[in-house]
Amino acid sequence: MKFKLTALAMIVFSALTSAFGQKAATPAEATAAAKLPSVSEVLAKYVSAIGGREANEKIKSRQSKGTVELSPMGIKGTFETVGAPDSKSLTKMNLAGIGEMLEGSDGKTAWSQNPIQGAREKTGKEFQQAAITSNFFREINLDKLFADLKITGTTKVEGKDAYVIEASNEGLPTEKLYFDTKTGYLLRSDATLISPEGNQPATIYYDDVREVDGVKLPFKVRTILPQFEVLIMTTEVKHNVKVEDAIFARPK
Amino acid sequence: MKNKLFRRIFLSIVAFITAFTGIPVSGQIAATSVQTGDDASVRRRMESFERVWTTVNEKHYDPTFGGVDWNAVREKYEPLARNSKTDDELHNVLRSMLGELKLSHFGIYPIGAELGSGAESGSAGIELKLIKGEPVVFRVEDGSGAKAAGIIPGMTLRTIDGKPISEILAPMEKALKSRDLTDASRNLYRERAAEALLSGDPQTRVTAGFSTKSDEVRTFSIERKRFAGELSQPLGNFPAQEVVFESRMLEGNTGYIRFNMWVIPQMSKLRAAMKQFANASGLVIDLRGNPGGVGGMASGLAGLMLDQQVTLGSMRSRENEIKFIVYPQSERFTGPIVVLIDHGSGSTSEIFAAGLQELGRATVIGKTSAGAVLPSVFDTLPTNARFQFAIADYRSPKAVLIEGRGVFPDIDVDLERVALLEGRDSQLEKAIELIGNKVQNKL
Repeated sequence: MKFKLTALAMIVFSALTSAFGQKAATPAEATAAAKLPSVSEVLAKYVSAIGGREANEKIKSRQSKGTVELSPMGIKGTFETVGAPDSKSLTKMNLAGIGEMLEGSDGKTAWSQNPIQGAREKTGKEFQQAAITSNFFREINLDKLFADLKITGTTKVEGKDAYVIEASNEGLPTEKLYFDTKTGYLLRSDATLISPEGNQPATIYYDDVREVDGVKLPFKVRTILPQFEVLIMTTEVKHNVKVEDAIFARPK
Repeated sequence: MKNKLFRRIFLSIVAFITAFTGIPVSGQIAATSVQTGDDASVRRRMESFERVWTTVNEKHYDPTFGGVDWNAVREKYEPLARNSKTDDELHNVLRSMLGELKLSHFGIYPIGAELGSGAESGSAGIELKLIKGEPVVFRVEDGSGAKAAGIIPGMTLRTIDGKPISEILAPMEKALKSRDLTDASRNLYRERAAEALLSGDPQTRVTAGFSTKSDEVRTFSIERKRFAGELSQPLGNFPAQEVVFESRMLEGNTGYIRFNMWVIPQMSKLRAAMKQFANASGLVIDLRGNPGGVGGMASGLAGLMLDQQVTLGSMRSRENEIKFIVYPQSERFTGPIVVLIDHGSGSTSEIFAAGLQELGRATVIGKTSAGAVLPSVFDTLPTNARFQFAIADYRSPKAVLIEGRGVFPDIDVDLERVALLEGRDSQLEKAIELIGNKVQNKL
């Protein structure tokens, strides 16, 4: 899969100043803007915070396990994910009362299967978005995966100061990424999830960052959707386990 | 960060955890009151009140609350909640408060009143239908006390313990008069209330008087039995439900599928039955009395009979709209389909019937459905009661709001008591006839 390279210099420039024809920034805004780091600085700090490029690139596969809880419905379950380079991924979620739900990508196609709707292949924008989501090295390659990245200011995320970066690709909804100004970690992201059912806004909080084999991963992830909230708690992460390509293929 | 992989999987969950049943599945609510007036109990009740009011305030799909002043509703009911002496009293206050919205899929169910699950109660094994205003036996379960006692379809329930049914249900009739309900909903309440009179503790007996064609009332002593069949797993706060499934080949090489509720274990049975009927001339999906269940299952079943990715309609919340997308599966039934509905068909049954009807994939036969189709979820309150609340409305593929209206059948057919006594089902007969005609016209 090919992704557009980002013209970082342009993004940094446009993010720092008010554009021609727009309302001039107030002194306070201008001061705030002047203090903002560049997108590349924020992303570099993030990459460094999660263990650095080299440590992340040493990881050739990742297997994670944990628990899932949906509220307020009280639905609980377990999950297992396997990821590998070239956008190969498999997520198995087993929810009590529903059964096993699968999402996967073999690098060329993305698919899903659940006990109710059956199996299907993702196409169009949904596939485009899935390709970015399932990119194994997404976190260290945000500058390559998004064509346009802008730093728009700072805000508070659960009491912490965060830089806000808007990441977008042509034809896909813009994603907002919130990076901790102190630690560099990703604290939150606001995304619009594309599916034939309709686009869904999602706010995702990342917490409980732990080091595993030299890379840092959030072990607690809370996703807020309009209809419900999902809490994911990771209990186990294994790196560089042998993964057969066949597991990423759409089940027959 | 591997967590990104999860994002997408939640989307499919959105579509199928909602649209649970919202029509009465029992004529009564079990009393499980905690009768304490200590500070902790009062606090728990007020927390429950707050949770219910705030949830509706923040989550109700219609920000205008259908013209109801929700703040004024709070002012009216908060003092009543504060004065509640028991959890039961509070739950009644909450029910009245939610009743101000005049919508389905809002309810308070104390633990023990398991939303129609017969797991703990005893059933006589009789399904009643209101025919010309009277509760008539429609189905008698195999192995039930009713079957053993000699009850047959077409008999009319007249008395319980010697008391006329009309007399027993008079208070309910009075209550129904003051409620803004569709005729279908009223009939459903009547049926369920009458069925509830026959239910009770397992291994007890109920004495009921039934009349036959001659209108002579005969008294039967019927044993109530605990449901011995399969139960679904609880789906979070949504309790386990009975799983009743029937499939058989009818005359004219017509496949017939009936199931009591849209719960997950039915899906594999539906797939197997659809496979079994792959070469049938036609198919009847009998949703009469099916109150709903998991919304996404309507799309799942439709995926086994549609050859294009289409929508069965959509649910709209304050924030967004979610479509009930049908993903065509590799093995699909291509023959004519009839969907049977009646006033007991609610929620997911209505999504399925309305969707297939408007898409031109099925002919709907029977009576107008319940008109109770609001996607909803269940929360658990501090008093331990389950709180069901609608999170969206439902509109058919042609954007028709089904709540409070129901699905109108293409062919309106009444059940006939005399036919039932003769072992016939006039609605099913019409379905078989229609499929036969369609097959013949194709030849």
